[in-house]
Amino acid sequence: MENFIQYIGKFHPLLVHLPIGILIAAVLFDFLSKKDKYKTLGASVKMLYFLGTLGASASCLTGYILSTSGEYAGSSLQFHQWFGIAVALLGLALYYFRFKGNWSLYFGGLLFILLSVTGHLGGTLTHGEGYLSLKSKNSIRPVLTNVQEAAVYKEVIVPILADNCYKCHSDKKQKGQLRLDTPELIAKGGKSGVPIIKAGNSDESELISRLHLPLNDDMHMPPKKGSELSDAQIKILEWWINEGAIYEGKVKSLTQDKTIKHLLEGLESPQLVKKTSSIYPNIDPGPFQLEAIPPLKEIRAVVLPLGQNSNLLGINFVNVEKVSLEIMELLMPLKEHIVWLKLSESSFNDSLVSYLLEMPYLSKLFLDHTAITDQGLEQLIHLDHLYFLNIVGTKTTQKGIERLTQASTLDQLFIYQTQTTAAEKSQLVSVLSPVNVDTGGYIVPTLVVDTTLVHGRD
Amino acid sequence: MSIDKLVKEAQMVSLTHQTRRLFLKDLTLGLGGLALGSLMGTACGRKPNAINQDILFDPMNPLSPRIPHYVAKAKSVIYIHLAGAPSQLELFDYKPELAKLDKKTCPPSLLEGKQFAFIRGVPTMLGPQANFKQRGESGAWVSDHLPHFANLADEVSFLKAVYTDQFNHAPAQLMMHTGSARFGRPSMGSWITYGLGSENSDLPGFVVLNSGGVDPDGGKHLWGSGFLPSVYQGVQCRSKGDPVLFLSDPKGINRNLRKASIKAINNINHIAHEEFQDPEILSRIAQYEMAFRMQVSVPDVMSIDKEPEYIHQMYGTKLGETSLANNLLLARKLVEKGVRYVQLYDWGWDSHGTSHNDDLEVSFVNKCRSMDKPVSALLLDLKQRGLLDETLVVWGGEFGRTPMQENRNGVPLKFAGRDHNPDAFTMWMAGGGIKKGYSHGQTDEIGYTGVEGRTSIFDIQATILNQLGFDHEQLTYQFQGRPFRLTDVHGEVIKEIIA
Repeated sequence: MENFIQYIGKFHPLLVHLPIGILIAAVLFDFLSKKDKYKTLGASVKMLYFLGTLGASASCLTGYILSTSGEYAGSSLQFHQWFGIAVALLGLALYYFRFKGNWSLYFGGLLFILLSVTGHLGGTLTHGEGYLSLKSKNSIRPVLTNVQEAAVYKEVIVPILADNCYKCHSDKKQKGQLRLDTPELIAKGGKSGVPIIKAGNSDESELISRLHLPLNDDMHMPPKKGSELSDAQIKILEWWINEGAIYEGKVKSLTQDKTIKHLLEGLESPQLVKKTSSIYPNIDPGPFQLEAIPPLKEIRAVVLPLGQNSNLLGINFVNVEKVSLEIMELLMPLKEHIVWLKLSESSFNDSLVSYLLEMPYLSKLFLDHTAITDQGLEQLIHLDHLYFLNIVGTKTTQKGIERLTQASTLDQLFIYQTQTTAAEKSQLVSVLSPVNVDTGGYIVPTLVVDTTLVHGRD
Repeated sequence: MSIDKLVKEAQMVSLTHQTRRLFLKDLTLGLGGLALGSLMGTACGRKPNAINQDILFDPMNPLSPRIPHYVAKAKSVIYIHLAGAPSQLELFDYKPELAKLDKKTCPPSLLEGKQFAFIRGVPTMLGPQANFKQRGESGAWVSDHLPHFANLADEVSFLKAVYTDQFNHAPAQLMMHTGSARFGRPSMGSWITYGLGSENSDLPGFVVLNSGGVDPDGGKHLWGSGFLPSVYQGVQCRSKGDPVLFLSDPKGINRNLRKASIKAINNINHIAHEEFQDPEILSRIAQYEMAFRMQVSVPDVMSIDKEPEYIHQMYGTKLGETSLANNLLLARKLVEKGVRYVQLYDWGWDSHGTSHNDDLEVSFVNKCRSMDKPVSALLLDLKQRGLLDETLVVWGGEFGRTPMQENRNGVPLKFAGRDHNPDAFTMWMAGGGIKKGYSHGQTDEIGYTGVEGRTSIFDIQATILNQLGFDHEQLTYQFQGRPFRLTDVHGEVIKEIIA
């Protein structure tokens, strides 16, 4: 039942447009009917005031219900509420009493002003302060020139929170009665009253644990799919909390391991933080060309969006052995959409790498057991979103693989059965850190028990 | 002549479906109704049910790959089922308290209201028949029976308090794999191939491999397609002899002749389809073509002869055997080739203790030895090939075993053994977006019942579907007038073990 009432509240933004339209029409008609030419309009004024008042009352009721959800607060809400009620009452008065002479026009003018103020306050509540301003709000944030000298809270943490959380947790909105825009309000927490940050322990801080919940969990933050924080942003928040969640002081005053140092360096040019994303980039390239898919199906390539409602594509050449220029050409109409590409065990070679470089968002790439060599591999550093790279069983060597240190977004690399010795492999692991390099070659030793049986004593 | 009549009749029938009157009527309310339906559907908090339109059965290409609900962590599943139900108390669920109670009479409070398969009267307790150690950084308890797997404890998520409501093998296995203890429901692999199709158009999407000498008690229904179209049923392959029975050409028929005959048959079928427009005919054409392609591709992928020697040493495989090790190596090869769901059954884990052939001291230890090395090899092999992240590996039996020693018909057995216990058992999952080095749930001091983080069979099914990109409540099939799903009305994704 409670849910149903809350649900009714959601109709407020729809209903408010009725009284605005109708009451404005009423005032206008009333004004015009004073002229002889439009005298006939006068007959509809009373009816319009009645309907407008009805709409205003319904808006007041649904608006009150919506306000109890706790997502809105502050003085503008109070003003919005009382101005709204005033609109309804004045509308009722105009309907009920027939004001003589020009009085109806004066009251009508007052009603118009009240309506405008109420509407503006409502807009502010929904869209945030200054929503009517001509200036675009997203002014470019100054780039950090030296992250180590930057103020850790103000210049590192605040931008992350502002980009991802302030939309609902600041002066604009207070979903769950939580605000994250000042240190005091962060400490205060939300509706539950439980502190959202436990200094020194990110695992027990709700600010972090909510980010890690599975995407389909209702408690996951941010709630909108596709708006997740990047891994780098999460890691930086965790680091800040683990180091005591301090609000004053510079970045260099906190201890940093290799990974964090690397991530912080990424802040010096802001694109990098978003770039070290995940197994697929956080972008929407818009709808892809459907006509491009049948020719690929014809050659038995598997082309699928990653999920329903996703415009990102994964392409698998599991049924295709020979990959030629012509085939790579077929991928080009889709190049902005391809994020996963599996060319395992195909005839892919260095001469085709240039096609991969055309795919700006390619993030997961299987080139295992192909003819790629160091020459082709070196070019992959130009892929700006490459996250996962599998070159198992290729002719690549230490020299080429080493060049991948320049692939700033690379996170997972598989180099099993490449032309490298065990010593070279372990060297690569340390050179390429923080990339997770899987060298393979695991051994499951044959123990005596593996080949013998136990027998009963009987 | 009779065909002409049939065609005319078919045309008449189709005309009655779309009259002008009907069309106009549809215009008045039909569109509005559609719009209202979709509006209300989203308003009530349910996600739009797009999947059902998307995965309507396409007769010409029933196994064509399809889009999951959301971006999937895993693309394939290897499910290792130890048929007979291995004892959690000798492998993962370490209970020092139970050791103290060894040979003591079972208190009546543990027996009240319980049903057992074999225990009658008052049994004695049986302490752990294995030595345990904590392994890896996660500190998971793994017994000495699994020396290789012990090194991989940090790669998997344990589910320590799984429960079921069936205490006999066949119904419990059916429950595990079809979501119902009775026959007739589609198996999990069928649901998944129905939802996702198969990436490799030359191989079946759902392969079943059996070892241990005996097929599982639940029989072929464990990989049946139930009311789903039969193309989604599991294809049972053999690791010895012909991988798929009746797939190779009979003597004297060469591939060209076979090709010509299938072409002729399909031509006739095409003519029939033009006349009758029956989609089942298209389905038949597609099946002929796929079988023809499989004749080449299946023997190739189903043979482990060409694997290098070090791989054989890693898995402990022996050519020409039907063993769990061989099947696990095959599973890796199949997943590599884009097979969606590989189901393995290994029979012989039913440690009652009636003789050394089914006790915990001899038979169980030997079964562990045959399983430990290849399972560990599979995890590492998938890992080094960059496939573990997108392959979900599931390990478990159909239920657990009792902390009491079995006393069949009230007489204590001479050998160490345990009866069936549906209230608590351990399973593990690895890869496919599952947390590493994690343990979820806990049993009581003697490992009899889960006391924390209990997970039902439906929860496990929901989690497997979730990792493949499905909302288990939305993957449905219309049958007998209502939409059916694998988890029926149950199941919650085990969020704790998801990375």
